[in-house]
Amino acid sequence: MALKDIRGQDTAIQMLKNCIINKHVSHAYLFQGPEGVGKKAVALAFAQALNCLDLQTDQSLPVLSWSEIDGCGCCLSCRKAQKGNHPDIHVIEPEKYTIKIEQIRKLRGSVFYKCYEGLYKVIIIDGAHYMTIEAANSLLKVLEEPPENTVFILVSSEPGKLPDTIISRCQQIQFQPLSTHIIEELLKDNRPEQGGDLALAAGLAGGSLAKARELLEGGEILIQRQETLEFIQKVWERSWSEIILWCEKWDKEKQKVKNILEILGFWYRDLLVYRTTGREEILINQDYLADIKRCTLSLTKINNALLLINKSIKQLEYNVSPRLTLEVFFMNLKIN
Amino acid sequence: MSYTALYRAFRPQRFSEVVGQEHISKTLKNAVIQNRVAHAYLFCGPRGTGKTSSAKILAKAVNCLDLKDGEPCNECANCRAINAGNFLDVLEIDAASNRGIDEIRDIRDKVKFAPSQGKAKVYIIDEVHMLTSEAFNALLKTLEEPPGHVLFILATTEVQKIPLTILSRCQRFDFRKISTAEIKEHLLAIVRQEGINIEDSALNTIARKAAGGMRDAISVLDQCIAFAGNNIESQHVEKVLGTLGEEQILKISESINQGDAGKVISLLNEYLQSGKDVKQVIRDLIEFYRQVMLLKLLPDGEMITLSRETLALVKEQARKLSISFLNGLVMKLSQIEREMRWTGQPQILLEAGLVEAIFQGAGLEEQNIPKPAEPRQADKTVKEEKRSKTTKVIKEEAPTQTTVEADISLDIAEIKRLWGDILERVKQNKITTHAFLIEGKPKVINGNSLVISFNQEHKFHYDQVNKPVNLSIVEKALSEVIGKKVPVSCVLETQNNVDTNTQESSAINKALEIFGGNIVEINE
Repeated sequence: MALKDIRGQDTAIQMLKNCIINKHVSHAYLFQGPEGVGKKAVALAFAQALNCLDLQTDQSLPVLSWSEIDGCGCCLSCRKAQKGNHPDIHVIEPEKYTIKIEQIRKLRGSVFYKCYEGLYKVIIIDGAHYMTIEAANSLLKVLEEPPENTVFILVSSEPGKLPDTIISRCQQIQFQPLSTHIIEELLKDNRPEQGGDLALAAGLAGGSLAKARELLEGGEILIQRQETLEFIQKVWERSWSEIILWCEKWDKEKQKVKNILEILGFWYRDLLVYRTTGREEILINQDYLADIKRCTLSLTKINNALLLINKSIKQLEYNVSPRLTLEVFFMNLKIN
Repeated sequence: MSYTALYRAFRPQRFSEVVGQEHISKTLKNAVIQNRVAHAYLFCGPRGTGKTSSAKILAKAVNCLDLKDGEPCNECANCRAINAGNFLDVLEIDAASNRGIDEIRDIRDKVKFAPSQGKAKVYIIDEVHMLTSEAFNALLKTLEEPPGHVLFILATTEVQKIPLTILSRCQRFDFRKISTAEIKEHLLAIVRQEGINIEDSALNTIARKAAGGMRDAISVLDQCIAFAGNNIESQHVEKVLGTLGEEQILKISESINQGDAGKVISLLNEYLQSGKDVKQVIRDLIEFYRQVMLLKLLPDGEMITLSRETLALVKEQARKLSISFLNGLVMKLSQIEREMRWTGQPQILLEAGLVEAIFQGAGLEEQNIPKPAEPRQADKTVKEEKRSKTTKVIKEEAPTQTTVEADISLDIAEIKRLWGDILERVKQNKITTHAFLIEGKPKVINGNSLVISFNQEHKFHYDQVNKPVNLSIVEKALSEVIGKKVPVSCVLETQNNVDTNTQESSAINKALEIFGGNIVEINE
């Protein structure tokens, strides 16, 4: 994939291209932004562009136009980069959930060799927040003052977990959630056969292409959503037994309970937004518009519900039993 | 030729160039002049405050052949060799990568050899907090009594991880965060040297964002130069950082102050769709309200970093807001920022939090609940007053609403649904009435009036609510919530529909309600 093929990250790509044009390529970047919006794809494409042989010969030209700053895709270097076997592009990924100090030590060793064939040695650390604290610290020195023509690209969806000392050494490039229609188009390119679901999945994905794909693949999520939304609308009239029985269905299904809570989060968010602004176009659950308009919960209750949802999701992260979490959530919801 | 990041190109080369750490520079300089350099120093402080730089300068100063007033000359052979990183007697060790006891043993073995090139052998041990405890202990003896030609400089961001035995053997220097003004000044110097034009407000934004770290500040500046070339405007900085522009912040804060939740949410969505980051937005808001609070507390304070144009507007806002409201808002926003770590949907959290903060500011007053899209000009003014003195205003407002004509089309279902709100409203007016009313249930609409039923065992509550004082409070709350004047009467549920074994059957009913199922009789 070249830079031009990546959709929806224009600001980030523009910044990177400017770096090449102005010959201001920094030695360390931190690509941050939500999961599944193209951070790693951009990192690889940027590495490819930096090493593209065509571009290198062009560098004698004083000003390059926008579109030209990209990997050409056909020179030897670009083809190697695309196949993933360019000797000067290294990708480091977590081994069993963490990036360990041995991996960074090995990397430090190799950084000080000259480039084999490329112009830049590019080191992409994917999931940088998975670095153990020892690994992160041992990266500090080399990240601050690497040898010439070395570019570090740290890719992270949770930069808050990185130590300040790492962040302060990098230029931070912020990636945005993708807009709904870009996700829809990208999904359409992949699977033209599915129609209406695409728009819905795109809306529910919260800007992440990966999440949208996940939604489509496990079609059950959409079914689950329908069930949840029908349930929540009637929850005030339901008896405790019905609620508890319903919760029992999701016993030990942590992921599903999380999905339910997220679905409910979207639902109450829509209620809140509609209640306060009255604008339809910024709602997420577009297919439930009529129900949202009909709902007459008080703002206090909506707000409480959102706080409860947030608390429950946190509890799930702390490994509280999913069923219990859900039950307690509904009880609090009804009692308040 | 590859490009060197500005923060490396502009690393200070003499003590006088280290920004904001005069207390340290001066001490070290005097130590060098008086030839009283200790054998072990510990430099600690937050990132980007000059620890490693000072260590390098000190290493040069003790080795320099042509010392000028305690400053290294940067021109003699030794200084140049140290700057180029190929001086044999200055050893920069990355303790985070060489953290084991073996590496420290290696140092211990080599310490006793005299310097080969310079006057003193300097060990700079950076990120020293990452040494293992064995390594620390192995270092102790050497650190206490090294040979005369050796100087240890330890540098760390996390001094609390250093064992006390190490601390007591070093001269400790605490580097402090660099103030926004100092950062700005230094950036200005760099910009001049590089021949770059930059707007004043853009510099302000960068300096503020750096939060005391010079490296962060220069890094951002570098990024802005890479993005925008030689003419940097504030919009470029906003784009690079993803922060809100001052104008945008003013707009959204204005809506927050007015309690216009709808506008706040609309604006928020607009900003986020234009590519701002949720987390950055909340940080910007916190910083903004902190500034407003500072303005209120110290009108002439030097801590205020707003640009001159906005200052007047912000002062205007500050005048209208109470300290307690601002305080509540900052607390709430910080709480949201903390919570954001846990959620996959930070936008929802921010929206909910802002709405809550707005209504908390207004004493959780809701107007015209089911009609969202209506213009609410009239309400706004009422709400603003309300923020200052909630209860009073409610009382004033009440009579106007109770004059609304009674309406026949009362719906018991609607009252039941809104009962929670009605209770809440009563609670705000008089908490004791709420305590009595809570046992009652809206039962039927009898003609124009609402009948509230009480169970036999709550006769006391029934009696209390029936008092005219309390009845009027309930009626007022009703009319405020549903917008209609409804007379209220109370009834006491009589025993006749409850048979003698009430206790038992109610327990069974309760069980049925909770667990579901059928009643099965067992005949033995």
